[in-house]
Amino acid sequence: MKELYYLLSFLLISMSTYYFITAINFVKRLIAVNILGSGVFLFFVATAKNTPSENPDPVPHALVLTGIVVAVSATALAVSLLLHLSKQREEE
Amino acid sequence: MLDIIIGLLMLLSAFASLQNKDLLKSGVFFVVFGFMSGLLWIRLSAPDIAMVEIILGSAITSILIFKLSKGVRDIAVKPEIWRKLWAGAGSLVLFVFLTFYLFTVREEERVGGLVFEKLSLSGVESPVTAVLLNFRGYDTLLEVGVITLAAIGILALEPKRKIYEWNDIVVWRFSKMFLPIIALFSLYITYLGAFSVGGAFQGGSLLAGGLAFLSLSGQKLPIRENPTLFLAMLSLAVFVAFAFAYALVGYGFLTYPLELSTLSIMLIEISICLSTGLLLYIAIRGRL
Repeated sequence: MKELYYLLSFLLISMSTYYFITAINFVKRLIAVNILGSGVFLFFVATAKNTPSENPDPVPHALVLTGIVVAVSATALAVSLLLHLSKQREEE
Repeated sequence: MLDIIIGLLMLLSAFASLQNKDLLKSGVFFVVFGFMSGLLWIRLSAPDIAMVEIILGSAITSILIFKLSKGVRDIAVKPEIWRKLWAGAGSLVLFVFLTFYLFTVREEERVGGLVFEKLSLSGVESPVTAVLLNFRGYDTLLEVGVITLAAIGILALEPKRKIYEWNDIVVWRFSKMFLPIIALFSLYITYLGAFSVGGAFQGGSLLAGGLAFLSLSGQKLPIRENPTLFLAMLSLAVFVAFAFAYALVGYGFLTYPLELSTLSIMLIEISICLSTGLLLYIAIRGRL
């Protein structure tokens, strides 16, 4: 049962890697990166759950919490950069 | 069983979001994906992550994606067939290599036991908050630095762009009615982080969600620009000040003295809540 979480995270990672390489649009690439991140976070949380003790491991939880916030701020910076880039392309 | 359904829906919505031709539809499917992953975090007994994922990963990321898909023009260059081929082969190989991990993974005691053992020394009762702000304080300090830097980069990039807004009466009324309640509730969640589920980033992302509504309705925070910037940069300053103050007194960098640890963590958390909200508001709005 617990292997299914790992399998789901691996599927998400490899699927979004494929779309990240082949996507023709910036927006699709950004979505692919975000889904890739979600897959990695799922791997971490599944690892945290994979203990014999009652409570899940809080260290991966804290790392994933950090990761989500950093991913969102990186996405925001990427959106700003891409808007800037497409504006410059239009001016040319 | 429920987990399998949620996982399948997650996979389907991710596929739909990546495969769809229409950018608006793929953004909507991304919202569904974020919500489903939030449900899966709850099933995996990680409610802290679920809160942040549903607010930040699903709602605020999709606002950013909608903003991008409105501003960017579609470049109609089809990828060559060889590119698709090697991308497919590469991701297949990646998947196969990752699947080998399943043969070696087993249930084992990880570092979490140590956290529960030392929890009484951290000054807070919630293990996730203890790891975030006491045991692994470096990570959180650098994370606050990263989001501050991202906001500075955004402010530098978009000086005169038209603000992305929806001009919708419902959004405006909603933000007018609920923003004070959301702000109060985010502070409550930040305070709650010391005892149970909650914490600075959960509260901060909730505040950011409320401020995002304010920004999308075409309104502005009723604060001048310089105090907004000051409040947004406050958490980094407070965190660094605490770290160096205790280092100078003789406890070590980011090592709190036991009797002051609860108070210090509380002050740092409240400043992180305020700053995360304002920094993400700047990130969505593109300016102060």
